[in-house]
Amino acid sequence: MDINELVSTTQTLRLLYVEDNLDARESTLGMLESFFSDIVVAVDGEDGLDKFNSSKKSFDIIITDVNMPKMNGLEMIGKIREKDDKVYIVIISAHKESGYFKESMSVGANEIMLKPIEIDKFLSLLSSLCEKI
Amino acid sequence: MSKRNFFLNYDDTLISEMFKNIIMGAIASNIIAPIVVAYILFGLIPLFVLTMWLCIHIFLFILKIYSYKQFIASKKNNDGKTRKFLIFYMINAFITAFLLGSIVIVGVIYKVPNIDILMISIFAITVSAGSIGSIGTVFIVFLGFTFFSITPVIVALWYHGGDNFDTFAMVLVIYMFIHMISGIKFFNVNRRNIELQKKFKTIYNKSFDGIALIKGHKAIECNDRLAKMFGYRNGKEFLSYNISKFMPPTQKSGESSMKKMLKELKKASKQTISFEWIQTKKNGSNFWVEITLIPVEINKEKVIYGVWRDIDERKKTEKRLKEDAKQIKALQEKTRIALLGTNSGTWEWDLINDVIISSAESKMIIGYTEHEYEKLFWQDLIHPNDLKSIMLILQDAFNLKEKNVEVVYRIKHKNGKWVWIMSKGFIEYDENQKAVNIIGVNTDITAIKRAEDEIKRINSNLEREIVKQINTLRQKDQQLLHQSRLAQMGEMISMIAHQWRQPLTAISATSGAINLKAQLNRLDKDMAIELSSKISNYSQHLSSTIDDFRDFFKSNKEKKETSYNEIVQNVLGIIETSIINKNIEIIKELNVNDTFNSYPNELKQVVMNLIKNAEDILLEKKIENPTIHIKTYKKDSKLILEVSDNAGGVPKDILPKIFDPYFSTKTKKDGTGLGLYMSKTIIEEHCGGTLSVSNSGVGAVFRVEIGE
Repeated sequence: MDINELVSTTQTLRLLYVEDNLDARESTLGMLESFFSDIVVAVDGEDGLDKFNSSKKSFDIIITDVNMPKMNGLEMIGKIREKDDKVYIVIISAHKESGYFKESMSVGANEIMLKPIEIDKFLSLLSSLCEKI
Repeated sequence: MSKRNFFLNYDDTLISEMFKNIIMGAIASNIIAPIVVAYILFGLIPLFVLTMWLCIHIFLFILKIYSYKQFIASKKNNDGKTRKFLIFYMINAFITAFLLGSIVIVGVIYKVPNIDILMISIFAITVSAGSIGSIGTVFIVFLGFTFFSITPVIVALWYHGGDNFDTFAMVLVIYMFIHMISGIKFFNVNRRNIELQKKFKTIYNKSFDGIALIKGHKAIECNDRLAKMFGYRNGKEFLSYNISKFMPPTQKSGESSMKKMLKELKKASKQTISFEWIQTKKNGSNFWVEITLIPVEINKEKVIYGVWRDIDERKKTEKRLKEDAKQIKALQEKTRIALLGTNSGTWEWDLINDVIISSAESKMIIGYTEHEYEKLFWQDLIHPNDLKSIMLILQDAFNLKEKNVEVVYRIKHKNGKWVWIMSKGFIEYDENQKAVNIIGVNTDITAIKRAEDEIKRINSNLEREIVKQINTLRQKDQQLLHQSRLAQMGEMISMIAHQWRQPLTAISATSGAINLKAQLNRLDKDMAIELSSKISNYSQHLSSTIDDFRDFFKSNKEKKETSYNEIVQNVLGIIETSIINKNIEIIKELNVNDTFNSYPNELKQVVMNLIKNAEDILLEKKIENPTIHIKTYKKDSKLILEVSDNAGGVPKDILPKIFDPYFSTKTKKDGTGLGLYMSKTIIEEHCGGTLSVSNSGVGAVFRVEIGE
């Protein structure tokens, strides 16, 4: 898929981005802004869940970190999944263990991306996502 | 002629002898002679003269009796007044003599017939002649009496005149001299006899031996000593008893005392004999005497002269000596047994003549009999190496004037084996502090020595074993330390990984953003600069993180000024995020800004260790609202840092050993049990502070105290 084409598709989608680390959050946002025009940012799991629940418009995609204070990503996903099984959830995590993948999937995540982010993998993830939606 | 004859220093016995005779003398000179004279002159001279003359005689007689009584009393009281009564009597005697002689003068004056003159003269001379017997023992009295009685007679005869009377007067002068000379001779014989008697009496009574004269079967004479020996007051009392009272019924041999004594007396009538005998005292007790009986002849009468010597003390001493000897023998026997029982023997070394005398037991220790040993010398049997050291020890002891000496040496047994001997000796010194003799005891300590060697061998093995075990433990220690270090490094690496993850994510995301913007042709110059500088910043962050960790592990060689704030901030900079991510709250209460000199990196490791421990226990126990409280404050010039948690505290039974090495309660496999041990070592041995633990209401409190 051509990148311009991809961008035109993703521009229509609404994103909830949850990340506690400022550097990671800002730099990743810098990348995400190229694709998404409607991004809601949350700083931890609890914040993410609040923003998800309080939003009038529904989200198409949730991109979230796992290790976060107050409420971790997996917990948040679990709670979100109780209400919404359509939203596409992507975990960005540094954990590589297979047990972790299984747990992520069991709580209802759709994809896992490993930190640090490889741009090609990110693009192919977005491509497959656009096809599914 | 001794002067004593004319003065009054006569022996009391002589004076006493004189006083014994004065009553008879006084009757003769003051009563009988005057009465006879008065009878002759009655009617020839005036009666009043005669009466007065008689009265004076009677008065003098009374005075003589008085002086005699006073003298006896004075002698008995021993008041020293006997001389006074002698003078008193002497004057009395002189007046009596003069009265007797002067009556002849009275007769001449009154011209009494010649025949009467002659008669009264003869009376006066007769009384004077009798004076040797009665007063001759005190020569001066006798001399005076003679002179005062005869001189007036001579004077009266001369005054009367006439051929016969003149001749009579002449004869009287010669008579007076002869009388005086015989008087002095009488006196001297008397005096010598008395002195001799006194000497013998003294010897006789003061003799150490009892003396008696025996006639037939009876003692007829004895000295005071003999009486006292038998417990009687004096010889008189002693002699009043029969000899059977002085002996027990039987002698020691069982023979009848009386029978045997008669036999002995019979023997003694022919020859001198001597024998030991048991006698009985007045109080009934028996005592030993040695009797010597000597046949003698006194006044042609055969008697036995007996000498008694009290040998009771000697007998008792003999008995005691016998008993002592018996005891000494028993003691010797006991000592011998004791010495044998302890494998010991005695010896004596005469240093002057260099002779060593060893007891039979001493010889037995080295396997020799008394006879076999005769040609051997103890010194020759001693191990040559030991002989040298013995000599050195002895020389030292002599130099230091020590009394006790102890040496241990080897000596060759008859069977050729070496025997270990411990020899203890007592050194005797002469008045010049020269060692002259040593007396001592040899003890065979071969068995003890063998046991000692065995113990030594076991000990050295044990030592080797211990060293081996210690080395093993040390190796284990090293391994554990290594493990702990690896574990710590592993932890560090995972922390580094965590710390890096975010910057790496940021870098990758930023580079991703550049990439995307470039592909979408949205990358302008400003944005490129901005994004690339961001990447550069993140890289710097990574670099500084590495530096932090590297510093953290680097040991400080020298003390540096630091503060709790710096340490806590530094540690939290590394681990705070990971802890917060685990939903553990960190409360900081930093009240001390004081700086101090210490090893900051070591302190950081400790604080990190305490915080990580708190984190571990909080997660392990799944505590609700987990909290780590870091508090610094100052108390009594001490700087205190507390790391506390709310995990419930350390169980009481664990508290005392929580700082022990290899002690761990962690269920995780990475608990090495060295963290707190090392922390305590760092604080207390490197930083000079203390690390302690206590329980608060909610959890454990670890307290670091450092003096300012």
